[in-house]
Amino acid sequence: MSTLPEAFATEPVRRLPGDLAMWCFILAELTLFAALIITFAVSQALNRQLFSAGRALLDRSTGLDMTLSLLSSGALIALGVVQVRKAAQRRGAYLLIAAFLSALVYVWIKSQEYWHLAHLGLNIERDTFFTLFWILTGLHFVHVLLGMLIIVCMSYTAWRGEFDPQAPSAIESGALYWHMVDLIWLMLFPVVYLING
Amino acid sequence: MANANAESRYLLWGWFALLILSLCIVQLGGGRGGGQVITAVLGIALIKAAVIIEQFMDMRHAPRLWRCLLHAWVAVLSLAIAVIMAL
Repeated sequence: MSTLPEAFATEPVRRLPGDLAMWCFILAELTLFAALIITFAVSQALNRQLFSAGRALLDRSTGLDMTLSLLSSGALIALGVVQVRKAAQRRGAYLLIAAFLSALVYVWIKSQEYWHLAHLGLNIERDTFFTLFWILTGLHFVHVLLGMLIIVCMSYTAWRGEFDPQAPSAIESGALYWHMVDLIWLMLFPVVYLING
Repeated sequence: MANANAESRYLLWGWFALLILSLCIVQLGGGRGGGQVITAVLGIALIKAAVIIEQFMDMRHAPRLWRCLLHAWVAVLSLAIAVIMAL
């Protein structure tokens, strides 16, 4: 039978990545988006034909391209954090710049989609589907833009070697914000683009 | 150094799994989906979210409460969507 200190010694050290303030912000954002996604689902359940018709006007392959660019960006940021933690900050900066470029692909595709829909007259006032589509994806888009600004700051700091590899909570907080944006898109994409209830 | 390389490989496998799952979800969804299709699409979304939370957000070494909170957000939201769509 092991003594109490021995039992504690075998327990792995559990640490919350990033700052507590960032986590509070992330929980608030997740709650907001959950409410919006549920609103979308309820509206769809009340008007299935309208939502089916609206969804048919969206391009699923565009949605897939945006998903792939966001996921690639998230992976590159996670790889960048690993490099900064092992004090290879310049290499971390390169990965963060690559993450920014991948995010830029998302912005380009999304902007093209918005331009195309607006050109067809499918704007926010068209019907309930497009009102919710523009609100949900627009709010997410704004979060992506803010995330890209954070990535630029992270890249610059890593480039100058100013992150402390022993206390990486600053870079982790920035990365967590971006992963939250990814997580929201993972739920938003099937609901808005794919599921015909 | 070896740990960092192993962690990078682990992240790359996660990224690859996410790409494959994204292709599957698009193939499954989009048509006139019945309950099974909706369940499958949301199930894949759940798995993808778990990969992001555990690997990208590095929550596998985090306190259980925070880990559970994040997983619960995805699970409750998926369940709510499935129930609403089924009504």
